[in-house]
Amino acid sequence: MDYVIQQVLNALSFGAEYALIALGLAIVFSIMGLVNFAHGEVIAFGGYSMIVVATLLTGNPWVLMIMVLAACVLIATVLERVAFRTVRGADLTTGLLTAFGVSIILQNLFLLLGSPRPMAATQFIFLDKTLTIGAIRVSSLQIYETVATVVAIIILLTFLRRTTLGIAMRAAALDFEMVRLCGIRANRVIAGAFAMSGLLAGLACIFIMARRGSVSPHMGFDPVLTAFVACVIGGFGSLPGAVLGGFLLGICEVAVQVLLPQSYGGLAQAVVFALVALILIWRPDGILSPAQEKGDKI
Amino acid sequence: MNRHRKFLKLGLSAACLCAITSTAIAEDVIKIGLPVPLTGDFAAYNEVDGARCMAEMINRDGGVDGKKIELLIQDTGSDTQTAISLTEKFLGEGVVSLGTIPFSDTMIPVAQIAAANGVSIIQSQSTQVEMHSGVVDNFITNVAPDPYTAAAAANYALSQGVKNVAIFTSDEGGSWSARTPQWFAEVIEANGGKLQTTLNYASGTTDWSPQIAELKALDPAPDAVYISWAMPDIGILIRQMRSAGLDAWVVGSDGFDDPSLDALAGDDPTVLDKVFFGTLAPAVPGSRIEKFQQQCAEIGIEVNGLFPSLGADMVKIVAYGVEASGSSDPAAIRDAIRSADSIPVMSVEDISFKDTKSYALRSIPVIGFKDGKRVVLSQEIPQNVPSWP
Repeated sequence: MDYVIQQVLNALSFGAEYALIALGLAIVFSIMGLVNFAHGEVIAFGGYSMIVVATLLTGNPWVLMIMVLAACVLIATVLERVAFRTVRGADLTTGLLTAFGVSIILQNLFLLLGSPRPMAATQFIFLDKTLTIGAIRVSSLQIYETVATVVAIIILLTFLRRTTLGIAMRAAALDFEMVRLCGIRANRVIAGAFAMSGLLAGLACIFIMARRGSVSPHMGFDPVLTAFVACVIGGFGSLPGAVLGGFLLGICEVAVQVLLPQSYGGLAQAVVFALVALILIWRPDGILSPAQEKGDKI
Repeated sequence: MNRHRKFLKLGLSAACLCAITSTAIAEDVIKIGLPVPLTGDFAAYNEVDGARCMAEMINRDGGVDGKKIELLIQDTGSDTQTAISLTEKFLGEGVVSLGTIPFSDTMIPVAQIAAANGVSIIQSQSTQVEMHSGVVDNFITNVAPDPYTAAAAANYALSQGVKNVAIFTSDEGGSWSARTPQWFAEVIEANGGKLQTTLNYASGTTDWSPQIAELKALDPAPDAVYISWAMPDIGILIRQMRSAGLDAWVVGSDGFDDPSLDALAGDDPTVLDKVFFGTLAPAVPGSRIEKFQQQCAEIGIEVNGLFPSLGADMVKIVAYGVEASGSSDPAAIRDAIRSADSIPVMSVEDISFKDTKSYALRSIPVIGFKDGKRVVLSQEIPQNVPSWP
């Protein structure tokens, strides 16, 4: 029984990490229809910024956390201004290719200016303590991550429903031209979406660094690919869908890891994606796909 | 018309002069081609810094038989097809040997192309057994294959009383990650131990909780777990195991041999107390490798970690081949290397390919940690290596 509870908690923890990154992808997609594959490099940028600040200024973990969040927001908005604004009117493929291009450029910059090998940054490891509840040992990081994801989506939904900028973002998702005609500055709306996406990347970066204790050039790319799948499962553009997709994917991964005989371990990813395919056969646009007629993205 | 002929003669003379000059220059230079991953997933495994430093040192001392060593370095982006294209380019430029991405799916096609020119692939740090199965005849690696590191690690584990083991395998690193743990388990079982379970994982695992829950469910608890993988995934596994209350030895291969593993001891040195790995050469404080890295720093070349450092050995091996053969013919150089009783290298006193032809049978260091600092726990050429292709 303890084993089962332990694995359920593991599944929730996996899901929370995927959901947090998927939220960052979904918020940008819901506003401007861009699948931002450079989101992973925003996370990695947070990690490298942490090393720079820790080396040059302070190793205080709380200051570093704020710096990581700020660095991710900054790079996300800079990328929007430098790379994505210019292709805003282009079709989906152009945006996708731009995102991949930005991703590759940033990875290689990390590699050439930093190191191809992992660089140690252990300041956040203290977040990962073991809590014993009865016979169950739980990682404090798993709890923080799950709680942070839930809080993030509540704050996001409140922001999008209750604030002027949030409502403008939702309106922009519905009809961008009309929003501009109403006198709302489009650049501000989209930059706001990227800033929020950067904030979520920063949050994910803190948890990833707490677990890894090191940063490497490709650390963000694989999680973003997984988060992309989570978005597809949940319904691309839907914020609750991204969270649901993240948790479902986490549950699938842990279930396959546990239930599949080890001699078939090489098939784990194939089984996970077969399950994803089954979900998409049932709901081709994702489980919580946005209402097409109204165009409302949340 | 006469003027036209005069110009033609002058042009031809100039072209001949250029050709003669370039041949003369070419003969004064030993070219080593390195189509290697400077970027991409395998960038951590290139040998460029160490090779560059050793070439600089040799050239400052007058070169090899008066010839300078020139490294032709170009990025493959960790892509096999690019490595093949660059190999063809470097062959055209007259290289005497090549080093490339240290994985068999790149090394085999590169070796096959190079074979047509008689050129050898001389790798600094390739341990994969596939390269010694006879598929190519022009491959030489500076280190011993994975079964040796696995057997050395198993022998040390046995000396520590290890009986019950669990292994982690993955197909993503070829035989290095899939078979090396099995060779470790074979040696343990051959000496009365037991393989309790085999667990799978994927590259880039950032949370080992599901596997750790399975380890915790084992009865009795394993004495050791073995995994042939690299940082940072290994660091996460070690910390999560300790957090979960599992104090089994964590044993590994050369993938553990990275400075970022040592950094784990920064906050709590005890976290590495029960970690050790069989590796390629002893990169510990006071070792020849550390001294080499210091010398490189003095001439302005940073060489960090074992893998880049071993590039120096590759340059020394080629330099030896050129000197011993007295030729810049790639096939003659290979023959000289393979027939030598002893070739001096940077990482250890000397190596030889005389008995093995394609790999250097080295003494395998098993490295562990004491108070967070690296120590050599044992060093041997294992005699009980499992059979391998």
